[in-house]
Amino acid sequence: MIKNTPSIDEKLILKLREANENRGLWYYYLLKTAKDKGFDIEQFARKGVRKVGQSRKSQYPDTTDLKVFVEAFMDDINRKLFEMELVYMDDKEARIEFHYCPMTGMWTRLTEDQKFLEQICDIAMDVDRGLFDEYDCFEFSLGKTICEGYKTCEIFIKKVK
Amino acid sequence: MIKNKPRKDVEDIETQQLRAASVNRGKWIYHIVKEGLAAGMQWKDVKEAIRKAGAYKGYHDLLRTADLKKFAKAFATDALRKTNDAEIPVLTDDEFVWEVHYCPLVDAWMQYTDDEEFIAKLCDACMEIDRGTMDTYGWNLELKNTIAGGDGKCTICMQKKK
Repeated sequence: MIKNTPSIDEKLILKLREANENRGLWYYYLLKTAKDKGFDIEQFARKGVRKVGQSRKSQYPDTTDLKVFVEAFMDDINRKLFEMELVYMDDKEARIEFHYCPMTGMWTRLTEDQKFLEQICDIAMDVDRGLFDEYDCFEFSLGKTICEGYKTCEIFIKKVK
Repeated sequence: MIKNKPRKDVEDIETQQLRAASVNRGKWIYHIVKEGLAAGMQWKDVKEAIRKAGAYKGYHDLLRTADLKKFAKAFATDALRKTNDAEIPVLTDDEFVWEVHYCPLVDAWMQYTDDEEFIAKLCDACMEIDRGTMDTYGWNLELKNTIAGGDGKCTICMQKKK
């Protein structure tokens, strides 16, 4: 059972949440329709989403300092939109938890197919994997996720160089 | 030559954030559609998917009404007006014209390509979102100008069928 309830109700965040849920709507139907027609979303959608992530490098600092990167990753808007919590950080690793996912917020209105929800969530996370492709010094990994039924999404970032 | 610069609210922080969120959606659409086409999807498949998203919006997000003026009021939210630098030049019982001077999706696509033919095709596929919405009301959608087609604005006419 997915639990995904936002708690922040600032005016701008509500509007941005809606905009991100809308992205979730488009994404859902593009992948669902493709899958229903027999196309391999694992192959093409992952490739596409990863490219989006790679293209986002220009919006982030060119740094090898984990704290500088995390500050940008958790900027004021992202922090409130995904209700991010910095659980732990030192010079070598950071653990961030997302308490709300606007994409999942939309998907759960569209389907109860748990397997498909987990699949499209993991494909969507390729956006972050793609961003980290562009950093030799950081390694990204995903832990538990809201889509799997956990309370939060766990993001681990390690400094490797 | 595509012209796609917003005229208004350029310095407004809220509008900048809303535009950035829609540009981001444009980036996802671009790469998913491009890779989907490379994997053998046809434009008709892409259009079918987006039309379904439009139908969802019609049934779940927008006001269910037979009154086009009431629909226009619900459709043209402050956030959408600002994001798209849009206005309503015509609003009658039978016609609602939504004129858009900035498209964040086209903005995103132009960051990746200068292939205007592809951008125009992608724009047309994306307009299925409004066509899908119109279907749920039994109304027509006519596109008179498009930013992606080089017209400098999108003139989207939503009309009751005669």
